[in-house]
Amino acid sequence: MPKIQMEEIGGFLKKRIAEFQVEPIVYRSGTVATVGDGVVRVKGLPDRLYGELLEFEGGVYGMALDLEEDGVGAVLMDSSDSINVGDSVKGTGVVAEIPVGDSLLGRVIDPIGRPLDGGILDCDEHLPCERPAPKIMERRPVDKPLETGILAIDSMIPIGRGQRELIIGDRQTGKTSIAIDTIINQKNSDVICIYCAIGQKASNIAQIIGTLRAAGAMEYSLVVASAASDSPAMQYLAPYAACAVAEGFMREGKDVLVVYDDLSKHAVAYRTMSLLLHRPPGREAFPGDVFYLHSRLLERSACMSEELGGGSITALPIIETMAGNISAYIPTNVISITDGQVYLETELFHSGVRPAVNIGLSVSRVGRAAQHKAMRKASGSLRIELSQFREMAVFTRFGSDVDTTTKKMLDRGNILTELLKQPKSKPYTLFEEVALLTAYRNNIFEDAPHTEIKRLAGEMLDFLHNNCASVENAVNSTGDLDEEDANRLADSLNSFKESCLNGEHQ
Amino acid sequence: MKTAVITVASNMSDKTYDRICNGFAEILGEISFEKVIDDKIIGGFIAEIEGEVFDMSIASQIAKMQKQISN
Repeated sequence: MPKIQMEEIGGFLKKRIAEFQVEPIVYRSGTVATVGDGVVRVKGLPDRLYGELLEFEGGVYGMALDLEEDGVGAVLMDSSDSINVGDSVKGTGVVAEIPVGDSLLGRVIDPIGRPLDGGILDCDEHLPCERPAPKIMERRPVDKPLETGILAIDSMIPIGRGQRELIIGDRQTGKTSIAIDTIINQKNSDVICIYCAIGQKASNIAQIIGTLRAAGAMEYSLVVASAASDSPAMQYLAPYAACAVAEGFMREGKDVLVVYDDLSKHAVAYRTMSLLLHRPPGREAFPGDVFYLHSRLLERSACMSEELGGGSITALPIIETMAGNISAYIPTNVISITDGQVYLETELFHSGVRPAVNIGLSVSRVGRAAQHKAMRKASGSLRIELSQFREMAVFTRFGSDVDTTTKKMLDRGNILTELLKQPKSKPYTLFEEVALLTAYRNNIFEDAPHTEIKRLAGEMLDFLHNNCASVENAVNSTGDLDEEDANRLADSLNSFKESCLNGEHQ
Repeated sequence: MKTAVITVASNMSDKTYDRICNGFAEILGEISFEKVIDDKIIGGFIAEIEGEVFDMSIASQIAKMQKQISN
């Protein structure tokens, strides 16, 4: 019935036009004085705000960052090709803001809220990118775990909801993989995930989105992307925009995980902007407020009090170091702001220990309190044992004669190292983690050759899924392992060991 | 003294232009006027007074209407 549709459309248009009211469009304007390197000086433009979006001719946007008596210094969000000296500049009267809400889930947007995956964005609500962090009395201590599904992290460097845990390491050590695995592991939890790419290669971003889609993780995730080819202003804005989106969800009482990948590039983008705006350079040519740049971002991660909905924002910022130097300027800054760090090492990565977590240098300052009871019981003094083993392994590299106690310790250390190895995108459930650690404690693998441990561990988990399903359900649902279940688990492990000795798993 | 730059299309009569100027002078007091002719605005006028812009041009109103309808 095309005729009816035509009438409907006509009626709709007539109604819209009748609703339209002729009113003067009032705005403040200025003229472009100079353009260069993505920075524009504007003459005139009275009463503008700090961080206000300015509209240039050709639909290009800029952000006012230097407010002076007779003009404004602004950084451009897009290319400066269409801007000429003498062009008029419109003040929009709003600071940079981003749409928030459930309709963003599954989408890929840029830092000013334009969809990058085609289609339109149906969002009524907006939040400014720059917002003050929650106040002290609005917060509560971190008390709920955020499971990464990575055994090495969940057992020894546990992360709680509302915590800020830095992932730090050289290039190609698996930093992004840890973050992506954590996002994938939130599939059956109620955590909303935001991946914020800052100055990343577009091919990498596409690959990450592909990984998330393939794992079905985009249903509860969204991506805020600024590629390496985007202007420094876009890269600068990206993490704040991602955080504002997260705050939108947190306000509704939801738990959110934000990955900032990575803040080294963010600092570099800010340095570029500051130097172009002629701000005085400090150490490594970074401007004086580079610490505040990251502290005000990460302080916005919080665990809100029950009266305010009890939502949380967990932040996983990533920092790339050069040649393992964690005492450089930006790494030390961010280490001091965050509640702990996961330190990844090239040497471990290349010797096959993946995830390449260096336990000695990694800490979690608040997560322990938030750990599941079952995990806390199972992990115990794992950290110390592993540190001692690593120390002893280096020591005994020079001579082969060791006494029996040391040999036993080395053997146990090797078994633990094997158990902590975990392939990419294969997160463990809480029960699997607890079972692996209990098996280690009960010396289930003590006589197995080291090369066989990985295979045996897999078979053990299969065995437990079949024979210990009640314990599995109890652990995964309550997060605790009571004494009765612990005994049942230990019995199952022993029967698995016996079946191994009987040659059933050769 | 403040200066108001009034942009109008070439088809606007002098009488209408004078009425616009008088209207602004009534609100803002002593003020000088500068007339700019730009046919791109189609009709109506745009007044700019020290960085503040009052846009009553037909072109801008049409653009605004287009935006409202497409939303």
